[in-house]
Amino acid sequence: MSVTKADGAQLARGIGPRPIASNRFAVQLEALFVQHERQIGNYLLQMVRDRELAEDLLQDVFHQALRDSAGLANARSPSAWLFGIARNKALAALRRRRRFWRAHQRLVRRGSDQSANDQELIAVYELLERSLAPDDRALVLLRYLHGFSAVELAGMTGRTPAAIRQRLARARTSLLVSEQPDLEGP
Amino acid sequence: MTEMNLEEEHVRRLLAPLDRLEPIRRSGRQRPGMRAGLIAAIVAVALALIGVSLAATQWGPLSGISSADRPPSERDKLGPEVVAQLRSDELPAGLSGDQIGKRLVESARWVGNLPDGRNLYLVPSADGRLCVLAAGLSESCGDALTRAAPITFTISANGVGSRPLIYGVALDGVVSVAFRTGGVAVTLPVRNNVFAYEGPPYEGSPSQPGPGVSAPTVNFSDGTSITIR
Repeated sequence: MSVTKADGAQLARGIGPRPIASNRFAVQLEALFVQHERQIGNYLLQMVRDRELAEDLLQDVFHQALRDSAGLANARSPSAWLFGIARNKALAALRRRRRFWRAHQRLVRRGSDQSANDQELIAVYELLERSLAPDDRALVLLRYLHGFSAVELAGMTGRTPAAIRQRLARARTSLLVSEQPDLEGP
Repeated sequence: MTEMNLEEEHVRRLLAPLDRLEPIRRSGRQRPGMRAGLIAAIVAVALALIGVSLAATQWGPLSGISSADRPPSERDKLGPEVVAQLRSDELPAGLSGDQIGKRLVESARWVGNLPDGRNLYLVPSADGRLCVLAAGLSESCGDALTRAAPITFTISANGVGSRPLIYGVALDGVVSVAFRTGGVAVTLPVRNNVFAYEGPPYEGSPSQPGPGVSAPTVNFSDGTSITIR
């Protein structure tokens, strides 16, 4: 691990073995992170549906961001950059966890003292999970709960804005059809 | 309102319960698996971790660097402007994200000069990290050196027309460090645990601060070598 900071030089990087960030950058990032921490935390929780995992991922997002000072420097929108990292972390975590998913769902359903709020939450989670793949879920949450535009989502995902709009349209249809199973077939 | 807007509004309402989740905070504690994963991402090799913990707990980050692992001398004393440089790099107390810790300026050791005459110091940190300080230029901090990660490697460049500086500190037993920069193969001898190189004036793209530099290969006195990535 290596952290390098330069006075006067445009570039000072260390391989010792790997550069992370300058401390000045860390201070800037901390300020940015504090500003968006709550929303990013919510997004992670919305994605992975597991509080402890979401907390770990939130910490991971911060450390990943800390290692990518160039990413922030090149980002058009700092918040979109952070959410992009969060999206990748959440998708990776979901991939890792996929095989445990059924067991996890059984455990969630087993809770007998769920309040109406909990049940409403579970219903939304289940609707999302049965109607959308994780990648589309990530897009839908970022678009409709966190307000990112198709252009910003395109920047986060490496797709074109048109492709994002198309995916969102398909995802909306899928969500609405799943919400009303009676409409699914003849 | 168009049909699409109505649909979007409906989706927002559908998802609204997820907006009422209780906020989470960054985990203070990390599960063993997560911590291992995080550190593995930070350091180049897992072996370095073992070396770090040994070095930090038993001998300190100057261990294995003979030119620095010695009693203090007058030359090791840092001037006020150099101390100020170090302090400006430290994160305010209590701020998360500090992976280095307070620099122990009283334990600094002068190890040599860079080609431009600047003094080069090694400064251990309170968290057991090793900082390489080029006075008035830059500070690079990282884990203590190990056989798997036996050098620090800092590249300092300042745009077109400036001469890039490449320098570092090596563990005892490292005889040379080789890399390519600006299309040229460079092999630097290690003297008193220090290697340094000043390249020709950079004539590349103005959008880049300096020439590219390949991953360095470290050659040991026993004839073995490793490439640090």
